Amino acid sequence: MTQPDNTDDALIRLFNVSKRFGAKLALSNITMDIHKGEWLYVTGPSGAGKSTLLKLFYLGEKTTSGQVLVFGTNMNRLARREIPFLRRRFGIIFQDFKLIAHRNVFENVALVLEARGEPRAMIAKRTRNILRHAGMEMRMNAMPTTLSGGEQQRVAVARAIAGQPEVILADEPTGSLDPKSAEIIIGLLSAYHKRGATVLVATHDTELLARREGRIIRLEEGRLVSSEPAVGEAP
Amino acid sequence: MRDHMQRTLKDFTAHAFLHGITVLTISLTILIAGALLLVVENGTAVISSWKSGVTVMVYLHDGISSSEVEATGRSLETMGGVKGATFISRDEALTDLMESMAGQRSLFDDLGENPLPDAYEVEVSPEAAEWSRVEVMAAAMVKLSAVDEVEYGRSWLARVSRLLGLVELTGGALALLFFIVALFIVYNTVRLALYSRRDEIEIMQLVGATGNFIKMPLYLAGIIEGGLGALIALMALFGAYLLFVSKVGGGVDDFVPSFLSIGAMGVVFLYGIFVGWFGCFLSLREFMQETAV
Repeated sequence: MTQPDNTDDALIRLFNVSKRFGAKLALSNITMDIHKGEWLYVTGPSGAGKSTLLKLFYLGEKTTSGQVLVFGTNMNRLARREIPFLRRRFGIIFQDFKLIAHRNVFENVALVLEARGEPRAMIAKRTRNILRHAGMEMRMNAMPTTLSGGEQQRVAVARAIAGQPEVILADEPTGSLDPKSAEIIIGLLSAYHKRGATVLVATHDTELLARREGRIIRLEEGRLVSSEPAVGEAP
Repeated sequence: MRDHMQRTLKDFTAHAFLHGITVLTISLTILIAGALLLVVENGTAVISSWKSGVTVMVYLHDGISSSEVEATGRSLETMGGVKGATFISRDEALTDLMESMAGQRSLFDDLGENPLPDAYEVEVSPEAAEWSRVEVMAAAMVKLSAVDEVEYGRSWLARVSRLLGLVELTGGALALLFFIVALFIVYNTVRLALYSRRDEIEIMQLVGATGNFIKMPLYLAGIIEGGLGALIALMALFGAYLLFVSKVGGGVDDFVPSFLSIGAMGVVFLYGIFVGWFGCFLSLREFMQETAV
């Protein structure tokens, strides 16, 4: 069992975390830290528990046993009404984009700011800026179904960073994209990471892992089997 | 609130079909319940108009003194269930009879002495106009020393009254049943609507939308749907009522059925709003528990 490294800049800390779905053990006795500003890949075969691990951070799932501390708060003790405010500190990206079909590109991104009760003028300004940054300004009135997969994921990334979250959780963000689109998505995430955000990417995309921008942890059958530091970092 | 309302109206245009179906469902169920309410209201009006006309004729013995007549009148008026007693002298009764039979005046030519007795027309108060109570009252009246005979021969009224009472009860129960049915239909329609928007709600939860932000437009939509459904139902019911009145016109005793009272319409409208809100409340409570951790 790996011990948390007890550094002060740990944003997320896991202590002996297990998650069970009925008879299936999705995560088994995971202990680890994720640091502020870190880029972390979570890899492993399908069904290894990568998505489940990410869900524990924003309370998409609760642990069966063990403790998860996010921004210093124990997730087992977080009141239900506090969950939306926790989630505002995360930007979440999915393989299937999860855009709202009947809202156009602008409205999908603006939703994040609307949900926070931001003023209208500010919402419009910031949404345009983010869409420009994501290269989607010209398509802001388009409906999601008229966009390519790469474009939809760019909108999803724009939505994830619209609220300026501290942590980006990307679950197989390039899983259904061509290499060129995947490159653009990683480029957008990388740019946001350089602004000081923490980025967690669950993937089994070997090309992506070969870039070795950050630390890699590997899960197999719910167990944490290895943790490799980022290139240039001490192991 | 303005933002919530704008989002609600936008949602109405985005999901026009879904909202349209919900409004239609609400209006149909409220229409059925409203129609039953209309029957009950009119049935009640018929019963009370008939009940208010219940009278007992109390005929007095011949040759009693005027003080005995007055004393009998006072006794009748102080009886429970009596609204009032009007003295009709034998002469007045004969004049009335002759007037009502003006065409056959010759019948009275050889009448000689007036054969009609002095009488009291006792009006029974509407709340006492039940057949069993009238019977008891009549039995008490006939025991008065000056009273010769008592006539209260509208037994058919008692039977019809009982029948209409049954209609009132059944109609009321059915209206209540349909209001409950409306509630469950709306609950299920809203639930289906929510399930079709499960992904949207899940995305809102993931971007940090509070329960209030997600639920408020849905509640507003429920309230608008309920109110709109009730209005459509009331308009359709009014149309059907006008058609019925124009075709059938005055029925028994020239009774023209009236439309729902303002109060009843208000109740139906408020019920529509309540159904929309409550259906939404039940579905959302269940739905949010399923989607939240």
